[in-house]
Order: sequence, then structure tokens, then C-alpha cells
Amino acid sequence: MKENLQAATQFRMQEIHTPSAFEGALWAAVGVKDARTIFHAPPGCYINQHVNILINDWTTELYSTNLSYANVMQGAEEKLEVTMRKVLAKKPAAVIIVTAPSVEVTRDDVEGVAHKVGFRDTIIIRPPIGGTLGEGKDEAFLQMLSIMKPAKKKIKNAVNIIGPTFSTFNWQADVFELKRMLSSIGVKVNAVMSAGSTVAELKKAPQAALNLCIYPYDCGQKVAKEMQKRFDIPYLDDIIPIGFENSSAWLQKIGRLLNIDAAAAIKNEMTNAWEFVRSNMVFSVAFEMSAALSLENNNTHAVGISRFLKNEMGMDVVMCAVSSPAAGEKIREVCTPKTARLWALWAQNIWCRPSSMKCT
Amino acid sequence: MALKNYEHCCSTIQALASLGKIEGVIPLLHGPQPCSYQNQVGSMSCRPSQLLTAGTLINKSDVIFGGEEGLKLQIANIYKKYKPKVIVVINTCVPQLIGEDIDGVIAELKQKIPELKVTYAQTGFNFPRSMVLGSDVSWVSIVETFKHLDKTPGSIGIVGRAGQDAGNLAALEIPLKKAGLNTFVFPAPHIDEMERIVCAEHIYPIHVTPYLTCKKLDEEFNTESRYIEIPAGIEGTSRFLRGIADYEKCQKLHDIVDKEEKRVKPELENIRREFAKQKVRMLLVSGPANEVSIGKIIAEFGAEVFIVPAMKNKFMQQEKKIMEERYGATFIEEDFDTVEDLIQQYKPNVVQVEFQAQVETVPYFIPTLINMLYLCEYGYDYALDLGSNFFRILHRPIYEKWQLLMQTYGGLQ
Repeated sequence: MKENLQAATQFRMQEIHTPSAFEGALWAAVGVKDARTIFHAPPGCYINQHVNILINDWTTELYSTNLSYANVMQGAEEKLEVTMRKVLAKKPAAVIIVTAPSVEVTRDDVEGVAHKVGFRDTIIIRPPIGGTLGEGKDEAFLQMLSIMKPAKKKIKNAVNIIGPTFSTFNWQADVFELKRMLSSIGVKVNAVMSAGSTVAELKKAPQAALNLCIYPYDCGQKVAKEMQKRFDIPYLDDIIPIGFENSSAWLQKIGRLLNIDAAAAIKNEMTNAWEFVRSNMVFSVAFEMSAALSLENNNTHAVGISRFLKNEMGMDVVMCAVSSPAAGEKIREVCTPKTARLWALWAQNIWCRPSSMKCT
Repeated sequence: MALKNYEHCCSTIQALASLGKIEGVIPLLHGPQPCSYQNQVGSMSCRPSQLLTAGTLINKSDVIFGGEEGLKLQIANIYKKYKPKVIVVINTCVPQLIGEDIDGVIAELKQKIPELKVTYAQTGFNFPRSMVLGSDVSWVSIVETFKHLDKTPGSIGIVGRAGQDAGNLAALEIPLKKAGLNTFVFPAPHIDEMERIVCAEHIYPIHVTPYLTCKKLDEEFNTESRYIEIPAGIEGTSRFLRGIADYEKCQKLHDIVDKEEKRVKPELENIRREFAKQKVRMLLVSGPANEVSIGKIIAEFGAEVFIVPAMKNKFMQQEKKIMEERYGATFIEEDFDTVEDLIQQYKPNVVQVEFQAQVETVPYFIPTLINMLYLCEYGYDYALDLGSNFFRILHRPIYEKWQLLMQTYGGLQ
């Protein structure tokens, strides 16, 4: 009786508003400007995905095999082949095929179709059913390695930025600013995986001297590890360049890894930062504020922003919703102990437990 | 003379912030565009958004030929559209300079619209250290429109500092009313409620600001104003209430104060212990008169307090004497160039100033509080809350963090 009551009070809730691995894979795919993505999916799946992307981000094309029930039950390879050939007629730099949940259930031979069609730069992404947004992106990035070859020579002081995809919170501003910061210390961005990149850029990713995982609490570490193995590229994933302190530390570490003296550039940035912080709206007003963050689909931003607000702006973070236990642990360090609630969502096993005046 | 004005705002904005909180009153800014714009923006954080402010937006030809016609038209427009109980013309620097005949305009309008109640406040070109005068003169203008009402026997009135006090005087109203004293408050959220201050027999100002207002009430409405002290901090609140209890011969109020003092004593002692450990030297500069009241609270806790006062009136002189004798507070009344100079001279470890001074204090990594964020500072519980949270709100770790950041990355020695 007691257990039933306890179970009843700890209710479980299916997260219907959290994007899945399929979204992650598609968002990673459509960001490659001159590739064309085919969503091997029924019409409804395709419509929702394409419209969702168009609402959230820049215009992008997305094609579909528009599978019927019969296609799914009897095998959709023929439809895929027809669609692929039509898309190839448009001469894309690469074709990316992302399979939908119904296709994953029936395990279509997508690889067989791609082999039959014979287009060299075909990337096949099979997002895991029940996978998270980050897992979908990781799968997409890993499959993108299939069009890359080991570099004969590395480009000095060139880095890849791993992580930004379409529909990632703030990706355009992040990429713009990080490129600016890196150029201030003489570092060039070789490729971005994957939003806003081209197929040619992705192909030259193995030439970079260093990989930067800028959303390590969301995605990118798997492909960085794989690229270290395949292409001998080290990676940096332990500093999030959000906030003045961490941005400085990030540049400093990159400088150290690439044998660049970043001190002067960082000093310049910090002078600007100090001018900003001294203004009216920072210390005096920020100190009177508290923040509640809901960035479940962007755990890295949640970690970075909460630390910045607490440690550098003096604001109390009273609530932060994230979807990764690792991010949750990191944020716990800066939560206000008396008033914080931490909602941690673990995959499908999701439960909301209000805390009585302490972090849980 | 200081290199900049360190006050909270000009007396026109203060007038607007005070009048703009009263329903039934429409303030009319008589001045040029930038004045009207800046005054609106500057007072927006102090006023409910639904309350209207109007302006005459005088231009070059008005300056040469006089803006009285425009003013007359605008007053008539406002009255026609909104039928406010009172229109207060806030006469800013330019029309004051050119000597506009506001009395004449009002007299003319009253002939055409006898039921119109319009008055004016001169707030322009007030000399430095007079920003708070904006409240006082605007309230005098309001009082001039009040009608005589019967006195309520045995009643008292409390007169506050500025518009923010309207609807926020419960910390004092509650013990007074519990003691059975019929209490009228000024300011109040509605002009009708404010008008009832004339029914009070005795008036007790609760801040240094309303000297002219109390004088006006005494002269015109036969009230009797007595300044006791600002009821801020534990001792300040007790002495204020006991002063009223003595004058009104109200033993019940004494009993209430006894009970309150017993209630707050343990927490006060905790706060004093913490202040004794941390040794606070606090510089407070030219707030909207709250540099005195907040300074009083902090001094009671045991801090060394240095105050640049915002006002020079008779109430201020009385309060200054109390704080010097009771807490050894230092009042800085001689001229200075910058707050930075004061910091170098007095070496505070906490500063309370306005935004324009924060530019000078933060480079020293001294925890800085902004004056305008600490208002309605009356009663026992405000003081306890401020004292208990004082060291937290200083956010010293943030200043230390930034000092380290600037030393590590910013080339600071």
C-alpha cells in the first residue's frame, strides 16, 4: 500500500515535447548547404520535420520518399532508389539519407540501395529509435566521416568546430563569435560540423590541427574521439566558452595546444568585458535578480549560462531544466541550495520530483 | 563643486515620480522635448504604467514668445479628455528661466472651467543637493488644492518621503492603528485618500524630505507637525513610535513597542555580532534622502558610516544631530570633486551611490549598492531583513572573482 502510494506520488511523464534522435540527425544533415537530404519516411513525418526546421532556422530543402503503408510493409527500397536518382539529377555535392522510425523498425536495406545507385558521396544516417537529440546528432556526425579521407598534411593553426546544427539554440551567433575570437589569436576555422558548412569543407575537416567540441554536454564528443583515432586530430571538450572567465580560459588553452601566445588578445577582450560589467545594468541590477533556465535541449548552454550568471553576474540560479545527468551534476554546483529545483530527465525514464527546499 | 551631479535624479523627475504614483492626478510636464522624454524614461521604474503623464513640448518660438498659450491648451485638452481630479503643472528649467506666468494661465482657465483643479510646482534649476525637493514642492502644490475638512479628534497623520511610500507604509500604519490611533497617511495611492491628511490634528513626518509640505499643512489646515526622527532601524522606529505615544498619551502604543523590541532583539543581536566580525565602513552618497535612513540602519548595527546628505532642510539638521550623537555618523557637507576622491579619503569597504557614481567605485572592486533600490525603509522588519541579508547582497565573491579575472587575463597589477 505504501509502495503504491509512493509510486503514485512520483509520477512518470512521457516527454512529448523533447526532440528525439531523428530530429537531431535531420538538423545535423540539413545544415550542410550544398548537400541534399532525403528523409526516408512517410509523408506525415516528413511534413512535421520540414516545417519545424523552417520555423526555427534558415530556409533549407528537405526531400522525402513519402512512404505509404504498403511501402513500409513490403519494403521501401524501390521508392528510395527512385527518389535518390531524382535528387541526384539536381547535382548536389552529397546526398544524405536519414531513415524514419518506421523504416528503422522494418530495417530497410538503405545501404544496398545506395550501393546500387552508386553515388560516391552518399551519407546514410540511421538514428537510434528512442535515442536522444544528442545521440541523433552524434550519429549524423559519425556518418559524415564516411566522405572524409585522412589528410596528407595538417593546416597550421586550423581548427574544426564540432556541434552546431540547424535548430540548435543560438548556433549562428555562437559560430560567428567563436570564429571572431579564434581569429583574434590567429586561428582559422577549417570546417564546422555541420551547420552552414559545405561538403568540400567537411571533406577537408581531417586537415585541421585541433577539434573543438563546443557543445560537449549535447553532442560532438563521439565524433571527436573517432576523428582522433582516424585522423590523429586532438580535441578540446572540457571548457565551454560561455562567460568571460571560460571564454578566456578556452582561448588560452587553444593557444597552448597550438603554440600560440594568446595573452595580448585575451587581455584586449577582458578590457572590453570589464567596461561592460561596470555599466549600470550589470552589477547593480543583476545582483537583484534570479534566473530560471529551461534549456533541456541545449544542455551545454544551460551549464555555461548558469555558471556565468552565478559566478560572474552574481545572479541566483533558482531552477534549471536539463536533459543530461552530467549537465545536471555540473549545474548543481551553482544552484542556490535553499531554493533550487533540478529536473533531470533520463532518456525515456523521466520523472519530475519537486524538492523540498534543496537540490535533488 | 563636484565634477558631476551625484544625485538620484533632478527635482523634476522626482516630482514626476511622486505625482505619477497618485491616481486622480495627471502631471503635466511644461518643458521642451528632451526634458519630457528624459523625465518620462527616468521615472518609469517608479510609476505604474497605466498612469498618464502629459507634456507641453515647448519649442523655440514658445521660448521667445512665451509658452502660456500652449500650456493653456494642453491643460484644457487633458481636462476634457480625462477629467482628472487635479492637474499639476511641473514647471521645468526652461519655462522657469523665461518666467512663464503659470498663475495667469491657471486664473484664466479657472474662469472658463470653474470645476478645474490645477496647480503647479516649480522644480526647474534647483541647485545641487536638492533633488528630493522635487517631492516636497510637488506635494505642496497638491496640498494647495485640498479643501478644508473637519478634524478627526485624536487623529494623527504620517507624511512620507516620496511617491514610492504611497501604499507602502504598513510597517508604521499597523502599530499605530493597533494602538487605536486614527492615522492618515500621505502620500497615498489615490488623491482622495491623500486629501484626508488635513483631518489630522498632529502630523509626524517620517522622513527628512517633507519640510515644506508639513509647513504648508500647518499654515493652511491648522495641523501641528512634529519631527521626531526617521523611523528606520530598531531604535529609530522605537523612538519614533514612543515619541508619538508620548505626545498622544497612548500607553497602548508603548506596549506594542515593548513587544516588538522583545521580538526583534535576538535577531538584532545576531546581526550586530556579524557586523562586529566583518567591520563595515560604509560611504553613502546623495540618494533620494535614503542615504540617511539606510545609513542609520547600518550604523545601528555597528558600522562606521559616512554620509553625503541629499538635503539641507531643518528636518535634515535634526536627523543629522541624532545620528552624530547616537552612532558617531560622519556627515560630509564640504565640497568634493568626485566620489573617487571620497573613497580615497575615507577608505570605505562598502559604498551606496547612484549609477553615475558606480562608474567610479567598481574599478576599486568595492561592493556597491545603488541608492534607488532601497526604499520604504521603515520599521523593524525592513531593518532586520537588510541586516540579515547585508553581507549576501554585497556579493563580495563576485568582486573578488572579477579582481582575479582582471589580474589573470586583463593585465591588472
